[in-house]
Amino acid sequence: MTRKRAILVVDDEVEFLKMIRLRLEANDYEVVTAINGAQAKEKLKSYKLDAVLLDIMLPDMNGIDILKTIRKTDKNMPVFMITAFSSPERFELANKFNASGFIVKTDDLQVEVNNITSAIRLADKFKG
Amino acid sequence: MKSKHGRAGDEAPGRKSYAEERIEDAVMQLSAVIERIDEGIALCDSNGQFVIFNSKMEEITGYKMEEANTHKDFLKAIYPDHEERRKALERLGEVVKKGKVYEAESTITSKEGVVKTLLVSTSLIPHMGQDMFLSVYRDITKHKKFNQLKDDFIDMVSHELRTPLSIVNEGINIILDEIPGKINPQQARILTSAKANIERLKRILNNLLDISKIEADKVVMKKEVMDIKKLMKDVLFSFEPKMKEKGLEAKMDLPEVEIKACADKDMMAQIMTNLIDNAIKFTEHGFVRVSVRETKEGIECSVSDTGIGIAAENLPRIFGKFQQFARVTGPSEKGTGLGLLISKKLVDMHGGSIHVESRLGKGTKIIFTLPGDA
Repeated sequence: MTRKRAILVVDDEVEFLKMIRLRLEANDYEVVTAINGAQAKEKLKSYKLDAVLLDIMLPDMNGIDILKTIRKTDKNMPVFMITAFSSPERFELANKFNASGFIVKTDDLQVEVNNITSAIRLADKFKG
Repeated sequence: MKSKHGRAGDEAPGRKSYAEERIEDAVMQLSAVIERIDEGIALCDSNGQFVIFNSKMEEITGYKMEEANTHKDFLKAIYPDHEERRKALERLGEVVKKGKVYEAESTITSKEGVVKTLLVSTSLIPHMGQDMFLSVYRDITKHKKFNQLKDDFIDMVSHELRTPLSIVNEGINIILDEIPGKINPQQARILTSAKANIERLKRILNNLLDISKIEADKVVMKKEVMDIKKLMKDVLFSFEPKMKEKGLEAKMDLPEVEIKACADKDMMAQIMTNLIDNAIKFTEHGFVRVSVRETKEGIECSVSDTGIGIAAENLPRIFGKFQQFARVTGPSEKGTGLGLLISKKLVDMHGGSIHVESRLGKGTKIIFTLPGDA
């Protein structure tokens, strides 16, 4: 039996985490959550992850800093930045550090999950 | 010439003639007006010596006219910031060069050290054989602060509302997608209606944010040479499902030749989206047509419909804020009253113009023109 793909979702809004967990689990993903940057760093070390969804504004650190940390060791891991609103400045900054994409909270999350699935498939190809 | 009191030249030595009295009266009246007007008024020569410096001017700057005239560097005193001083001098230079009224925003520091934002209007007037600078100063400090507060408030409210809104939105989506379990048709209808209103709330928030950014000059325009025909086709195409649902026909009146415009692509898409969305919203039967053509004024784009139209008395207010004219629409169709205003502001940013032609019951056509070198 193939293992379920695991996604780490980092957001300080617990209710939002509940919703995205339901949506991802309905798409057959295993979901790991973190409500701050410190937890996220811990879970990045202790789980075998296939993708990360990262809120840009975290209470203890900036999501971009976590993205930078991930990119130091893993260039291909799909990392999507979560944001409450679409801002060209934020998009530009995240693109600079090779984010795979964005999840605008008010957008249709099923569409976003389809994008995540495509990104995971693409990352698999690089893994060989 | 005859005076009121007798023939000209009849006055006793030392007494003022009627004409002199009239002139004196007129000067007094004019002085009273200048003194009482609620704008700072200053008239100075090219050496910076003031001839007129009214009370409001003294209140704004904190200096009396004598102090201003005897100050070793008055310009530096009220414009301690080098950049502001440079702009003030540049403004005077522009007035001399172009010989017309020059209006600009300026930041001064009063004698008491209070930083004030002024709207300055300067013109050149001849006075006793030389050119003088007449400046009118309006203190807009409070107005600016209020606007900043308003912008910050809208920004904060919009951003803070988005997260809870996204949670409610996704909660409804999850139930509608039957992830936790089956729902019955009545439950689905109720949730679909709730979802439509969340969409409306999202549009209101987005529009409020857009308009506050535009009004605060925080929108950066990225012009590029673009295929305007393709953009219009693409935007119209994105509305196809919505138009099919309403039984409306999508029409295009586009020339064979390529039309290139130098414009901000995202802004153009936003304008077209607003106009087509409005057209569909207020049209129950018939069609929505987009067209583009090159005219001697530039590139003319339009969106027309066979909808309910707008009453003549409402046409002048069509591009105002929160204008909806109680047009009858479905529950999920109600607009924000900001779409046309945003479109107008975006067209204005391109140096273009926008207008509307409409008759009640006969449809509406909104036309915007981008200048050839937009």
